[in-house]
Amino acid sequence: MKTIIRLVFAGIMLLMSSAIMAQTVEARLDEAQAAYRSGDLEGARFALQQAMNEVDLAIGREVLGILPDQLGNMPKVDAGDNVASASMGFAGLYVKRQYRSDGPASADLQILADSPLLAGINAILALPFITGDANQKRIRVANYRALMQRSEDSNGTVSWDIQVPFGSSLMTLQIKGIDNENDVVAMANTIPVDQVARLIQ
Amino acid sequence: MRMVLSIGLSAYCNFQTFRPSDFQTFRLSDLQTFRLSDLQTFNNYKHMKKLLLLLGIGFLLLQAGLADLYGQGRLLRRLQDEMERRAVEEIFGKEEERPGTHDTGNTSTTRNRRGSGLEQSIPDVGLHIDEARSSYASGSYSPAKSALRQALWGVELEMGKQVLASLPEAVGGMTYVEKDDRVSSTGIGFVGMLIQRRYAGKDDMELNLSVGNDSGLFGLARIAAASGLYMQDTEQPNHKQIRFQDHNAYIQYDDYDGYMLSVPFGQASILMLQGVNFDTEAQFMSAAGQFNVQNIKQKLGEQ
Repeated sequence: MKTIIRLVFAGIMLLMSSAIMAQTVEARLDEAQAAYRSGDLEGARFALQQAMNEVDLAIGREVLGILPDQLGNMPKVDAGDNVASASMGFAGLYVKRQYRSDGPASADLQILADSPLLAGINAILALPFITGDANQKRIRVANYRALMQRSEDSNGTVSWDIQVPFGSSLMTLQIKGIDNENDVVAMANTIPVDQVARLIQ
Repeated sequence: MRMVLSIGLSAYCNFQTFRPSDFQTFRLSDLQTFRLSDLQTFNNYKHMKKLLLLLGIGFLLLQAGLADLYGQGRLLRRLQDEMERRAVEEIFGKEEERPGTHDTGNTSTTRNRRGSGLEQSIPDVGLHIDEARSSYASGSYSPAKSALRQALWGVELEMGKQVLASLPEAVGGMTYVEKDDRVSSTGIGFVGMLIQRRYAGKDDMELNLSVGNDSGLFGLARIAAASGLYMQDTEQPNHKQIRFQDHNAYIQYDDYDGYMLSVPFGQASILMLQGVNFDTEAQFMSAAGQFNVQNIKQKLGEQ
């Protein structure tokens, strides 16, 4: 019963936040329209930039909505969800989700989207390349080319970085405390990269 | 060769017992009397003289021989090349090179000969705002963002045009080149908006104006300036900090680019002037003085 109440409450809060955001975007657009008509170009510009940020945040929340609630046996950390938009597109949209297990295993998923800085980096990541580093390899995650790196700290804890570039966006999955490479790749493949890319682009 | 090497080795081993004055007593006939067995009695100075001289002569002969061989080889190669070229010409005839027929590596035979470029359309800001509104309301966030970008570009284009219209048409005997007026923006703050104008027409002089606005990079430039990065330096006399129309500014000179004045203003804007082929700093600053920073600031809505 408690769970149902919690879910209903969370749903109401989500609907309310969406409604508030919609009102904010509407208000920003009205503000931009009025400023532009009155010849206040700088005011119109500022309002449009603010509206764009709000739209970015809405996109980020949608992305969080389609990400899996669980990665392997690690559930998501509700408080770890984060969406941010750089006010002027310098870093673009930033989405973060954390997964934690009872044991030492943990995962962090970060998506940096629509950033002009990433276009160059992604072009390099997407290129086939030869590397002599035994801890680095190219894999496919949900049919997207990705770069996988393995590292081990002084305590012997293995961690994995998987970078998936798409367009001017980059998804990074960091997994710690899991030794088996196949398990890590399997976890990465549960992320709907295709849907995320469609939402962002 | 074996003898030269042996002598060299032995001479090195016995160098401490050799005196330079021994060269004075050397006779050419000594060369004829030299034997390898002499190495075994190497402790006397007389033999040492012979050995050193032989070493020197041997080295010179070796050098001369190698140079001669190298020269002969080069001559032979040239002769061979020339003979091959003549043989090919004899068989296939001499190829006459026609002007404009150089092989550029481009195999395409079709070149564009028509086309009137792209249609320049100014974004309808109001229309794009309405489009963004309806897309957002229907939950299509990506199209909403695209429409917002277009609206933003439309506003920035108008701002840029207003700034260009407020600039002088002639500066220091040069007039502005209308076709080079440019307003560019990525619609994002990383690069921001860039307004450019070029003045030319007086001898080989040129004045290039750039106004950057709403850019994170210009904000960083201000931080760098505030931290003293551009302070005057006696070691680098080609740049200095000055005051320009109540703003801190930086002027620099280099032989390739000429004079460059940078005036950061507002929160994240900058005015840059580049003067090419100006005789003096005073002449360049006189031209720069015809631009009103306050006016540009006002047009951009900067504080």
